[in-house]
Amino acid sequence: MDDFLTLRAYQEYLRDRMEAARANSGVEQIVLFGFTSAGRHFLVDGRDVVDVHQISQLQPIPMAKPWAVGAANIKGSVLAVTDFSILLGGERTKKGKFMVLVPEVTEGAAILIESIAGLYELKDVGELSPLSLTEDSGMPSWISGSYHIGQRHYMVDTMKMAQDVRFSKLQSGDSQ
Amino acid sequence: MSFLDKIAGKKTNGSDSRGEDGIEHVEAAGDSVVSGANLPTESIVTSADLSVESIVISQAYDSATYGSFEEPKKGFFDRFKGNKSNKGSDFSDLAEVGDVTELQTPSADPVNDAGFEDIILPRHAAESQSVDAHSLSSTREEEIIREIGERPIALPIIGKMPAKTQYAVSFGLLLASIAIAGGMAATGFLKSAEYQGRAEVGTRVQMLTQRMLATTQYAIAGSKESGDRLKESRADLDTQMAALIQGNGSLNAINVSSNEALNSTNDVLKKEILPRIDQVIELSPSLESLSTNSLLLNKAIYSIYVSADQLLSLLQFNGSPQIQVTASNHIRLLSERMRRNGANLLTSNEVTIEALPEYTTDFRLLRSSIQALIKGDEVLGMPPVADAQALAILNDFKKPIGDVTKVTDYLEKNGSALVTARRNLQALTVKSEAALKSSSAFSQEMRESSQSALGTVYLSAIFVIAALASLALIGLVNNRSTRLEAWESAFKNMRNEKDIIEFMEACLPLEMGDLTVRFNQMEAMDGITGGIRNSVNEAVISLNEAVDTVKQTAEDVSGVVSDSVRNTSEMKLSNERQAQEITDVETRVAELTRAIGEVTERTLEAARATDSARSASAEGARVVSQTNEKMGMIRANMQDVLKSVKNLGETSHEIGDIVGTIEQITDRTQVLAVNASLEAAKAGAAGAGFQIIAGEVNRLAEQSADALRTITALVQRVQGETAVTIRVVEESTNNVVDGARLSEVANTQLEQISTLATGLSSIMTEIRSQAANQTTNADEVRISIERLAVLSREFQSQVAQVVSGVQQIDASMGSLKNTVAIFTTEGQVAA
Repeated sequence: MDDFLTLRAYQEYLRDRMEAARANSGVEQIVLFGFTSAGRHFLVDGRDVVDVHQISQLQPIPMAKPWAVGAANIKGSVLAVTDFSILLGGERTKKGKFMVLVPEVTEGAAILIESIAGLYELKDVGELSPLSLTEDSGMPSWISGSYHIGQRHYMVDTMKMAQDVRFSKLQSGDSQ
Repeated sequence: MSFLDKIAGKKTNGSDSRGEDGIEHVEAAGDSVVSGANLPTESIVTSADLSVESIVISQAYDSATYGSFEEPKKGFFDRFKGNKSNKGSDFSDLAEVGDVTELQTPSADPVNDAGFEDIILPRHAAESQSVDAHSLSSTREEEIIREIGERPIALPIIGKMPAKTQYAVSFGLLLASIAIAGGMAATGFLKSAEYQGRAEVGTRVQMLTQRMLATTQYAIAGSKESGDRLKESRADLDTQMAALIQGNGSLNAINVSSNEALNSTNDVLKKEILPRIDQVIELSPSLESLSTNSLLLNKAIYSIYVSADQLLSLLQFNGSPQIQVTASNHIRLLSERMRRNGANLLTSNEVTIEALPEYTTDFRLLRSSIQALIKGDEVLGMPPVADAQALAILNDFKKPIGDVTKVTDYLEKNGSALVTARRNLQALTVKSEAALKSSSAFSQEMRESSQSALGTVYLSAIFVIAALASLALIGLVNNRSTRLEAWESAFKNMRNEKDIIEFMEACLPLEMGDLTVRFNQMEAMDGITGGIRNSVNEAVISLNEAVDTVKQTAEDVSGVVSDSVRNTSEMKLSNERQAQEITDVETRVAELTRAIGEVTERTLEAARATDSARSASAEGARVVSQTNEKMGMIRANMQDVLKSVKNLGETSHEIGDIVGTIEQITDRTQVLAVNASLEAAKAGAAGAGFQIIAGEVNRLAEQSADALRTITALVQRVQGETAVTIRVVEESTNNVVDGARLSEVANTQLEQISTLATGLSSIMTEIRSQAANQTTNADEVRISIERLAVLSREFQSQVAQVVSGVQQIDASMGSLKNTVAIFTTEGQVAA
């Protein structure tokens, strides 16, 4: 915004970008959704994210897994909310947002994150780097690698995460 | 201790013994008491304490060796014996003056003098000892020579002559050596210079001979400058030869026949060279136009040749008669031969004058042929040339023909001179060699003679050395003469010195105060002390009388002065006691005055301090009062500040609330933007434009979030600073309140101090007044005592001066008595 001196110039800038986007509409644009949790940055495929909501109120779920921090009513549907920080072995997220993953992947699970880091196009984030055996030794297997966008952003493979976590089985007796 | 010991400060190491006659005899062990250096074997001991005022003189030798009282033992007595000049006198003259004492001297006979270990010099000599003057003088000279060294040895041979003669001989040798050396050197140099000059002239003759030969060649070739130069060289050669043979300012005349080389040179020059040179010089005016004519001839002949060639071609071309063609060809051939012959005649060094007739014949034929072509020749049957161009060429022949005619006339006129000159040149070339050889030999001979003459100069060095040796001899003569004069002067001085010392020794009893001594005029020395003795005798007689008078007067005055001394001393003691008492009182009064003064000073200081304290307390009270007012103002201001800061804190809290609201809005905006983007992405191409918008909204939301975070941090900082400020202001307000309360207390205490200081100040003023009165009284007492002390000191000083004066008189009288006591007068002896 600071780069634009006038509102008129800003409008022209937007118009140009929209025209360019329409011109390149034949090419598939893959968007990565960036978020923060447990002090780190993560990316998930934007196609796997249905929606992002702010926490209004969570209903605790008794006898549930530690990472299942509660249930929330999202647009009329009750979804189990999984704390991403706990999944990584960190502290519980005290204040944050949660995102809703597509039902096809996670059977309608919602993931609690700290904050939104931004949206990125896949073509702009460069090559996926493999995890380091030393620095990233504690990372779960569904972290497929990392991109460098100003700093390291770990790529979350949502399919593997769903298989590993099995969000639908929240009770402690069905631990992974 | 004898009187002599007191005076001399030295005692002989002999032993004192008193003889039967009551006279104290002193035996000396050989030490010299007075002028011992000159009396190595004797000593003089005089005792003023003897009842008989005698001078005791002890010989150094002991009594056992009296038998050898001979020349080597001569001592003090010998010095009192007369010399040759006084031999005619006798001690009888001196006996008439006083006849008080007798002068006894040991005789030559040791038997008669046996028992006289000491020899008493009587007051009047009875007789004089005969003295071997020659022996005395010889001994003294030996002593002097021992001291100043032997007489310097004279130079061998010449040293036997008188000094003036020595100088004359040395200077004579020096002058003779210098004269011979100078003469030889001058002769050698002059001869060498003359020979060298002749060699140079010979070389000059060689050069001139060569130059004339070369110049002759150019002169014959027609060079006027060379002719002039040849004349100059000829004249120069004459001058040089004249200088060699007849001499000039620097060269002497020489007999030509005596020198073969010069003779040969002179012959060749006179007979062979110079006549030919003269001939060439004579012919030179004729030869001068030779070169001009040579150039003219070349140019004219060449012109004729070229024109003849053109004419031939033209006539052949025109088809002119053969005879005309032949004639023109003949002209061309003749011109060519004339050119060759003419050049030989003018320039060749060879004698080719034989070619002159051929040349003139050719020229005549050439002119005839030209004339025949122009006018025709009936004899030859040749018509005149009709062609205008050919005629023009023939007319052009006139100018060169005229030039050639001039040259031909010149050759005919000067041909013989040219031949003569060239023949002379050939002869000169040959004869110059002979002249060069002979003159060269002459120059070489002269150079060798010059070197030989220099040998004489070298020989003169021997006489220079002789002159230096003579100079050294003068130095030696001067040195020996000076040393001899110095030695003789030293000898004379030493002899006089010994005379004076002996006279001083004789005066020694006088120095000791013995006025009974008289000198023997017969013993006067060699004119140095003889005249003084009589005067001394007269003075001693007068002094005897004066000393007796002084002694008596001194005794009388001394008694009176002793009484005065005693009286004044007692007066002085009593005055000193009184002065001491006054001084003590004065000291005590001064201490009292000083103590009162100190009390007054302290009182003043205390009063000043009290005044200062009162003023300071009053000022302090005023300042405290002002401080209270200011503190009240500060407290009011602080409360205002506190209120404002609290308002600021509340405002910042409100800003924080607003920021929280904006943060929520931003969060929601961001969530909406992200959701919109995700939806747009899922919509594919249809949502591309929407995705852009959503992305921008998301970016704006992020920027808003960043700005909010900054604002939040600022608000939090403002809230923190506000809280701190509130706390500080509250503490300051409390401090100000405490300070105001303390100021009130201080103000009260300062007012009390001021009151106390005022009371104390009045007390101090009263004390100061009383102390001042006491100081005034004490000062009056002190001044009175000081005046009394001054009077006492003045009186004491005067008494001291009286005592001192009397003591000085007493001391002077004592001194006078002591002084005159050392004189032994004849009156005393008589008593």
